[in-house]
Amino acid sequence: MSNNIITEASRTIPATRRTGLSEAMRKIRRHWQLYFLILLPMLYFILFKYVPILGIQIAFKDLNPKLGIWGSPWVGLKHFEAFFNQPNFWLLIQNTLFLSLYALAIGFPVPIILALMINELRDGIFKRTVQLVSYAPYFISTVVMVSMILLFLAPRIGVIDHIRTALGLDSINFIGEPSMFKSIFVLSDAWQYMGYNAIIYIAALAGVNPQLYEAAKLDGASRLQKIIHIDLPSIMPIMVLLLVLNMGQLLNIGFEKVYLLQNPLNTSSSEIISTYVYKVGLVQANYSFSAAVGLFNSIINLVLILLANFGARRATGSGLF
Amino acid sequence: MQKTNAIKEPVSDKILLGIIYTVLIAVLIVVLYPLIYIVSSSFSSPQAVVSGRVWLFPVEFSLKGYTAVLNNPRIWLGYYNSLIYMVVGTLISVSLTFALAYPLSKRTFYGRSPIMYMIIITMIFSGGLIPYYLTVKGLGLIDTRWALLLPQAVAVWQVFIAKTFFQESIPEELNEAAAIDGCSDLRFLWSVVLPLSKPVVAVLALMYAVTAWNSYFDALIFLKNVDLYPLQLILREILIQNSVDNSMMVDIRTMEARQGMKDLLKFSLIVVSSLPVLIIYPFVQKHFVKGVMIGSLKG
Amino acid sequence: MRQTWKISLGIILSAMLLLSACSNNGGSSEGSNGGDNGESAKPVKLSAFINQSPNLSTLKNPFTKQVEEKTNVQLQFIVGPPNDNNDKRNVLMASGDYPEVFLSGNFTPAEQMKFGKQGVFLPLNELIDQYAPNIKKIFEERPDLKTAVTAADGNIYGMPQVNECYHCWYAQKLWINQKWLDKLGLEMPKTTEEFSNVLKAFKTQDPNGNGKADEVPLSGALLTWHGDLTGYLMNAFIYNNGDNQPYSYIRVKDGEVQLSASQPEWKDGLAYLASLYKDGLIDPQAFTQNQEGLQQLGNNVGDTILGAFTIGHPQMAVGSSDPRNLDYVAVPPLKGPNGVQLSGYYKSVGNQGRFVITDKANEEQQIAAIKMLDYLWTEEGTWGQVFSVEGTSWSKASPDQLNVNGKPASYQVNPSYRSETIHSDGWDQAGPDFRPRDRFESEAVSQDMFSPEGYELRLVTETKKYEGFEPKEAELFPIDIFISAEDSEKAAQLKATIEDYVKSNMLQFITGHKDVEKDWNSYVQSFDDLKLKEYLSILQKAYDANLSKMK
Repeated sequence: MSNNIITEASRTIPATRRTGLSEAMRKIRRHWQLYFLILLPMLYFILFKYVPILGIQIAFKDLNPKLGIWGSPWVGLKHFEAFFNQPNFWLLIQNTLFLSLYALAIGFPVPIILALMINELRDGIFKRTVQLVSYAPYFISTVVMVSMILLFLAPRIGVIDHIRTALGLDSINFIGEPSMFKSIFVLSDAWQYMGYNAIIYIAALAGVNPQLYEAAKLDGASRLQKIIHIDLPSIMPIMVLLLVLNMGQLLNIGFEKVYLLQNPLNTSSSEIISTYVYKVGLVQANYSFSAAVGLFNSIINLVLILLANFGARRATGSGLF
Repeated sequence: MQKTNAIKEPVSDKILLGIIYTVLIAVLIVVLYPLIYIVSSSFSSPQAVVSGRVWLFPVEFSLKGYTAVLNNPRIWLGYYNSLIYMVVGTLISVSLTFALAYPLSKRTFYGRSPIMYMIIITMIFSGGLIPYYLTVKGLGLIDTRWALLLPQAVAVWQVFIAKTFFQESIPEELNEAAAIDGCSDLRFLWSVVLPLSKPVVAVLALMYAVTAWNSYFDALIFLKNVDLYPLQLILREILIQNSVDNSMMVDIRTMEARQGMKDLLKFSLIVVSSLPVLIIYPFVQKHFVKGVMIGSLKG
Repeated sequence: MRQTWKISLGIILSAMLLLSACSNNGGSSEGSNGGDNGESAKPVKLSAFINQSPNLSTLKNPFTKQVEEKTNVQLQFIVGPPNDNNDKRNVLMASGDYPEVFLSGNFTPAEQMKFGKQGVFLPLNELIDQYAPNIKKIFEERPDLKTAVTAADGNIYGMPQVNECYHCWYAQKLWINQKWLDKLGLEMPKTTEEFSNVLKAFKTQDPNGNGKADEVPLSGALLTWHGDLTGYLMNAFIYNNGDNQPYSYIRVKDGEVQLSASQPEWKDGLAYLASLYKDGLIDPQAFTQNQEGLQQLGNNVGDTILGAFTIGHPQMAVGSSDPRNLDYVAVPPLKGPNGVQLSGYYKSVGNQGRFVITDKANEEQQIAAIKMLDYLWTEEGTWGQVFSVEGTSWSKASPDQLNVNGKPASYQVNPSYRSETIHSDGWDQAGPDFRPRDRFESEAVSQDMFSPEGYELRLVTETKKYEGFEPKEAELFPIDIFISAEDSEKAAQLKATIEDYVKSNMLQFITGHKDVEKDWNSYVQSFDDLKLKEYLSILQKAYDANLSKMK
């Protein structure tokens, strides 16, 4: 943006370099209060985010505690090679990506739909109850959540099984089927997080100008049309934002829940990058190895977020950046 | 569903509303059931829970789970600590996020793009655990409350969410108009933007509060003594006890005692530890009520 | 404009350099005060890492004080939660921010070797020799202990928590409902054939007498202490040390380290298990449920439905408050069709690498630390760690009390101790205590093995059925084996995939997704792609080094 103009200018006419700098200083001075405002947050980012990023080098070293990060010996791509040459490598990537994309495909729209529906309700007990109740599961810790999942899905004694047999269907050992693993994971996540994730959208919808609704009503629009033409566009920026941000975290899918839901019958579907790294680390913590895998993840995530942002720009005219 | 006939509109609307109500009731049941299970289990005897007899209502009503929680001084201390981290942490986080998001939301803000790139990079790349630890150590924060308040103070997500809110709700023209009238940036922020940002602040506050309340990992690595432990860490310790570790041979009775403690406390602890965040929700909720944003802005 | 960015970049870089330099200090200045005057009048300051379980309200308790007084130290604890997979400990180590002493180190032999080689851990041999008479004497009486903790380079880098729990050595047990056997007039099965007949009878002859075929003949669980039923049953065909071991599915034959899971005998075992499954005798849930699932079977309200199950001790499946837990007795190792009759064997020195002294300790601290360990290994020091100071939770036994072997007991535990959910004294077993078998078994226990207090006696009695069936020493891959850090890293990466492969295939064979006859060869061949040969050669190297260490 403004950067380009200045770089351009400074390239073609050396004399205008001065102008570029003073132009910048002028803008800064005019809004000095704003720059003052961002000082503290930027300091935070430098201290707590950028300084540690320097430590990424341990992915290329063999970390020795006595020598520290800077003193440890370089080993180049050794850890990356170990990771890539691992026989399961493609399976891990596949499982991780599919699981994440599936989670996104379900987990992304559900809170939006929930928020849109809640928005249609009149203010009152029902509306507030639905919000509060759907928000509550967020706080159940993963360990307990998995316990409950295993309990409810258990063939003989689980509540799902009872419902199935009541309907005349046979029992399925859900948790032992590799094909069901991802669905169990994704649907339980949707269940647990939809209320919490809907909050942002509910808040955004609260900001919609009521006059728009009235105008729509006068034009004879139905509720559905109103949702499509007013509500959705008003939350579109947030939606795009969250979608792009999510793409940037795609390979980071949390390990604990997957690990607890794993069993020998479903590993072909449930072994993901983070559970593998965890198992390797159980024998001996090797931070260089996990740093290498982490860096690999980051690079993929970076590509994904750039793609997503580009796609969002194309589709809606504005992206994250 | 799209009827152009004015007389027929209410019907399609009513149908839609009916569908919505049905779906939401179904959602309510599906979500409510496991929650009821948890609460009922917390009021049942551990044996009943373990043998799978609890389905909907408490079996062998017992307050043992709750008395065990109340009798545990470490749990109380954890509660107290968590409240501090949540309240102070949220204050710090919301202020810093606000301070960063507002300038970034102005399209004419010089340096906007590079700064945004800069912070996105921090979201994607990370030095990992060890550099993180060393940084906090280098700042002398190990084993202090600040170690739990500062390192995670600002979440990039929230910054962008806030920025988007500002972009959508505060039109540039308003700012320019105010500037012409001699209103400085900060004054504009203070007297115009802030009052209008109640929903944003509410959302930010809720999300940060919840994150702070749920966090345990920073406490795990930065604290040297248990007096500063947040509740979640203690909860985790109790729940994970006795999970696979074949190399740890402990005598049977201790193993059983620990298992017993876990069974007893599991559900009552979840209920007790979720209470604060559940309670604050209704207070935050009222800021999402429709029409809070006066329409005059967009007009 | 460029200059502004350059300046800011410069500031950022210098900040980073400054901070990382600060944290690289090696910390030699920490904790080295106290006692320059050569006399140990002033207590020596020691920073020590220890696990504090949620059951322990505070470490500032009478026992800690007692330790400090008796050994003239002043302890500054750095606490880590137990069961966090050593996250905290690892962060401290990797960042160089570790204390002088670890009391809950839990360093595996490989880790000890790695840090020993790097000079982070100090060799303890000399220190023990000069300043730890108690330990020295123990080593003389128990040379096997000394060998077990000595690394391949002859140094002792870490001292263990010795926990010789006899029944834990044979923890891979199968429990069967004796009442059902009696009801159906069946004898305790001795061979695999008899066992499958018993299971068939359980399934078809309605032993719980309720007219419904709701009996579950055989079940197990994952992620629990030997709940995996394939462990016990495979031992009738070939040695299987079971899942979740430092090195699972490994055995030694004629000096060669092998993967049991690729041997022909394994195939026979799979065929047996597959046939059991096909006949509906194995609970399909056994391979997916965790301990809670098994508990629901065992504690079933109303009629008993669980026939047999594998687990370390039966109260993990049928709770102590349920009288039915007494119905289950251990099945001695079954004999397979080829005469193989083995029991999983888990004798080891205990929890390795509990106590280490790091290079941050100066000489005075090293001496104080080893003296402290010497004290912690005495009876008083050990029971203090486990329970409390004498008199509170434990005391000397009275002359008439007997221990689990029917001999006079040496100590008794206050019953209130085990019913409390929170303790306020002792270290809750977090440190390096010394409980060899005779000390471990010298608690005064009820002689009635069917009473709740007599549970330990019951377990010991049941375990005797397994004694003698463990493989000969030459066929066991030592649990306490020392592997070099380099090798262990490589092994760790291979181990994860190899073991996953064994497990998932085993289940596919058992449940019929793969055919034992048709798919066996391709299963074995795939091990090459998983670099099994490399994995085994790493283990072989360590095994050979271990052997020469013993000589």
